[in-house]
Amino acid sequence: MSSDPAEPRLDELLTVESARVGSSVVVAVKGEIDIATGPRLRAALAEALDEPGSGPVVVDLSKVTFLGSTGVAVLVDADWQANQRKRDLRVVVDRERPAVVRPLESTGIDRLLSTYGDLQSALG
Amino acid sequence: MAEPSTHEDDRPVSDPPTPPPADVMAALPAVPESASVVRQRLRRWMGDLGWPADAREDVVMAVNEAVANVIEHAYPPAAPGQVRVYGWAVTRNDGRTAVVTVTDDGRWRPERRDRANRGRGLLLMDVLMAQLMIEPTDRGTSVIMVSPAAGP
Repeated sequence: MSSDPAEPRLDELLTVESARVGSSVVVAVKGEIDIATGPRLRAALAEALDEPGSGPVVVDLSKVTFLGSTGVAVLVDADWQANQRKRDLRVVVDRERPAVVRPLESTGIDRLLSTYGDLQSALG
Repeated sequence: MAEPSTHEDDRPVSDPPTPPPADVMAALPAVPESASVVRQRLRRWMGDLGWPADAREDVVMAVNEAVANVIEHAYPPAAPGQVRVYGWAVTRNDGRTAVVTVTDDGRWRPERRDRANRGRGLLLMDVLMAQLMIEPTDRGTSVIMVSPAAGP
């Protein structure tokens, strides 16, 4: 077996960036959400939901390349937290990405979440 | 490994080379960072074999769930053990399948606090793979999965 390249570093595996856009907080996620990187997304969503204001929190998954059940659990929990705080959690899912669509549809979680096909419609 | 010698019918053939235990292998500590190492190795292995991308990602996703289960549940938090992943590409009449095993040596049975998410992981494996077998013993657990046949 050939040797592998160096393991990907966690900050290369996933980047999470939060920014205010109007009254919304947009949490932009890029890369792979798994058991190692999931906690970072969890923390960013908790922080966004804790921010003062009543505008929506938009989780933009359109640049996510891997989503395991860990990530699905993070989204479910964030959705619950949003309900508790009477905030709106909106999830942007690129319908052309089976890596994200598959796990959300197979677990039925796509029906639980408010999903949008792109960021513009989520911010609208 | 010895090269098989060319031969005519009446000449002896050298012993066939010993095959490696699997086409792809990983033996890693059962810590969160290992999940991405396994995914990367599987992608490289299946990529090299020219596996169709969607079928490849289904295998990667399913194996990741089994590996994540080991990382989360097989060992006590202070003493992570090992997770071993072996894979074989098997050619059948209807195409090629990947057979992958994920094994741990854990005997620790944690409280089922995250039942819902454990269910999701199992559900994903079940949906993505043609066959799924989970073999718990008192010396550890093996998950054996067989992907649907993918065209050449």
